[in-house]
Amino acid sequence: MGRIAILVILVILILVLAYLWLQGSEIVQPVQFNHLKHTKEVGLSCEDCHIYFKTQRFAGLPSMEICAGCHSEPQGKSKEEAKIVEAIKEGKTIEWQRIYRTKRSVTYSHRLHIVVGKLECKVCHGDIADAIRPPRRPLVKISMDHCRDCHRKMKVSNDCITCHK
Amino acid sequence: MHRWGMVIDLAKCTGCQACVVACQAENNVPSSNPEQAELGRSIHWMEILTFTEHEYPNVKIRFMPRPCMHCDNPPCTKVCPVKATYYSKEEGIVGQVDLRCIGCRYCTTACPYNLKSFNWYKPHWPAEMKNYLNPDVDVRPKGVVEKCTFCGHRLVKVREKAKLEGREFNPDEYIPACVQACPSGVLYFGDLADPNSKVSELSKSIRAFRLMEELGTKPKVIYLSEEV
Repeated sequence: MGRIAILVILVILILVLAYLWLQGSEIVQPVQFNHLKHTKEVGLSCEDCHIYFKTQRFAGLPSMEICAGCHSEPQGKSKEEAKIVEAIKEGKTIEWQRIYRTKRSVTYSHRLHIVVGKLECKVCHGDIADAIRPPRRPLVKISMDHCRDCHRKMKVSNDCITCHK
Repeated sequence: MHRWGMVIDLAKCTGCQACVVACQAENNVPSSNPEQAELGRSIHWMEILTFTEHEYPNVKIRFMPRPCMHCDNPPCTKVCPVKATYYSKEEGIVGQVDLRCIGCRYCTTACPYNLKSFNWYKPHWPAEMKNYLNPDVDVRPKGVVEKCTFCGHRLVKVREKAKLEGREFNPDEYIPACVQACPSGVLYFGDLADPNSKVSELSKSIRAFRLMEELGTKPKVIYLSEEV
């Protein structure tokens, strides 16, 4: 009996730790931003808020000026929108959290992949444009195999030097 | 297919160390101190070797800039158990991916030129230099091996620029930091696969020699001796 009890306790402990670990790796945004509303109802394109992906290596998270373009006055009755309107009025910044991060020795250029490679955002970012609430982890899990497969298909160099700095 | 290579004209070198400084700055090579240097643990991707002949007052010092030889038949890549160092067939460069390196130091032992450096310490820079690190080059952590990459990140950058401008990449655009910094025109850089390039032409000079050619490593750094 004693052994079984210890085993059960161990299993529970592992499950709890795994749950806590998963919780810890989740990214929670300060505002529950609704992508779908902006893309479908308002008809915005990705570039309207992530303004750098065609000109820089990074895509950029929207600044408060971009939000203020529409939300200096409330557009609806959403509680989440009220947070943005309030932040704009008080001159505060909303700290959007990055979900995707490359490893420190990897170099990646949004500009190159979008302008030259003609990739669509959803290849790496999944159906983020249709998301009602912000995802807590990347919708597409990017690994080196993911990059290499695509490079092979697109006949782009797979030499280490191409991506590793 | 390219075979990037370097020609070093020893007759012109004044030992000014501009190439060394340019390399350290470009590639985030950490600074060292006398104790570490005493133990042979300071890191140099580009180094100027000195050879002193005769005695004062008739002393003569010869200088020899020494980057990675980027061998066509590299001994270091063959011993790496994790392919952290590899020979790029596309570029002819011997690359080093520090994220893969497990720090076994087989490659530092295999290299007959003794030019690979192991990071014995956490990388360190004086406080005022910390904001001047090159974002195009990774900072290597303690416990991995590093070496000259012929500034491969610069190659990637000029290729990227050509693609974005919708034109063919011009090999003359790719210049490593040491070559760019040399005030005496000692260093020449280019594609050895192109028979019409300046480096190909110089490599056929009567003064041309390669270090430890007899080992069959086929280095792509070619020296031009001071005298014929």
